[in-house]
Amino acid sequence: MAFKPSQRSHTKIREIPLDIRPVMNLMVCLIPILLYSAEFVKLSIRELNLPPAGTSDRGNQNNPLTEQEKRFQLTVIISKRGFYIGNRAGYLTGEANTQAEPAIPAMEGGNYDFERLRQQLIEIKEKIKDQGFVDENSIIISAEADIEYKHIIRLMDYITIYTDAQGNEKELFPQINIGTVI
Amino acid sequence: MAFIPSKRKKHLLFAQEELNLTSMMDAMTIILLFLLKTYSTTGEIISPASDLRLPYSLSTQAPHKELTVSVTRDNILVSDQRVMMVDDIDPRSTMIGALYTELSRRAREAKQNEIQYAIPFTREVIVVADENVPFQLLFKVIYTCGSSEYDKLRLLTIRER
Repeated sequence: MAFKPSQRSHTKIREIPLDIRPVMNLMVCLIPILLYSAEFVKLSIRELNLPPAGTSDRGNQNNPLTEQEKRFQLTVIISKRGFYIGNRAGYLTGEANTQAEPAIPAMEGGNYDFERLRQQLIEIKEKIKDQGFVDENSIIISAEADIEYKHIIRLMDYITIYTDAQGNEKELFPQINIGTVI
Repeated sequence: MAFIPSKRKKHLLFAQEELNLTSMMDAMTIILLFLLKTYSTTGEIISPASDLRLPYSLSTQAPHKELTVSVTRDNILVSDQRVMMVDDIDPRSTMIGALYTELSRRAREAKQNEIQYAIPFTREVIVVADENVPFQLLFKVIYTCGSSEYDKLRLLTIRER
C-alpha cells in the first residue's frame, strides 16, 4: 500500500527566477542578423539555352548528318489577338478558318487562353510522338514586338509541363527556343 | 473633497517585482526559428529597384549566383552597374552595342580567370527583366547575350505558390 504523503510537509518551494539575460542578449543580436539575410521572396529561374554563337540553323543544314533528321519545328506566336500555333508547313487555323486569325484567340479583356493552348499542344504532342522527329521536345516561342515579358514567362510555364488525367506531371515541350520578333 | 489616503496602507512594503519576460522569450524563440528557416546562404542575386518588377512563374529551379544582366524600365545594367539607357538602343539593329562591348569584356576576363586561376567560365548569365519589358527588347538582350558567348540564359522570376 502506498504511503500517504506526510501532512507535516509545509516547506514552501522557493521560486528561483531564471536568469535569461544572456539568452536575451543572444536573441537581440541574432534576430537582426537573420532578418537582414532572410529571403522573403523566393526566386526561381527558367533555363533558356541558346545555340552557341557562330552556328545557326542554316549552317546545320549543310551538314549531311543533320539533313537526314526530321524536324517538326513547332512554333507558338503570341500576338495581341491570341496564339498562333504552327510549324514549317503552315499554321493552324482558328474558328474563322483563315490563317490570319489566331488558332486560339485571346479572351475578352486582353487575357490569354493558356488552358486551351495547353490542350491543343497536348494533342499535338500525342500526334508527333514516336514519329522520329528529333525535336519532339522543343518548341519555338515568338511574339509581336510589344508583347510583355510576363506573358512570355507565363507561356513558358504552360508549355513545359502538364498534369495528365491521372495527376502525373508530364513533360510537354521542355526545350524552349526564342524565335525572331514578328 | 478628496479622500484622505489610508494611513494603514502607507506602510505596506512594495515587493520588488521582476519583469516577467517569459512570454517575450516565447515570441522571440518562434521568430528565431522562423528566420532560421528562411535563412539563405546564397547571397543576394538582385538588388531591388523601383522600376524592376519580376514576373511570376511556376518554375521551381533555384537560381545560382552568376553574372546578371538587368533590364529595368529605363536602364540596362550588368552586375548592378548601368551600361546604358533603354531609350538609347538603336531601334534598327538587333545587337545592343554597349551591352555587347561590356559582356564581351567580361567574357574575356572570365576566360583569363579560367586559364590563370582555374575559375570555370560557366557561360551562364541571369537575365533579370521587368515584367513589362516588351518582347522586342528582350529578344535584343537575349541575342546580344548569345552573341557575346553567354549563351546559357537564366530568366529570373518570382516563384509562385
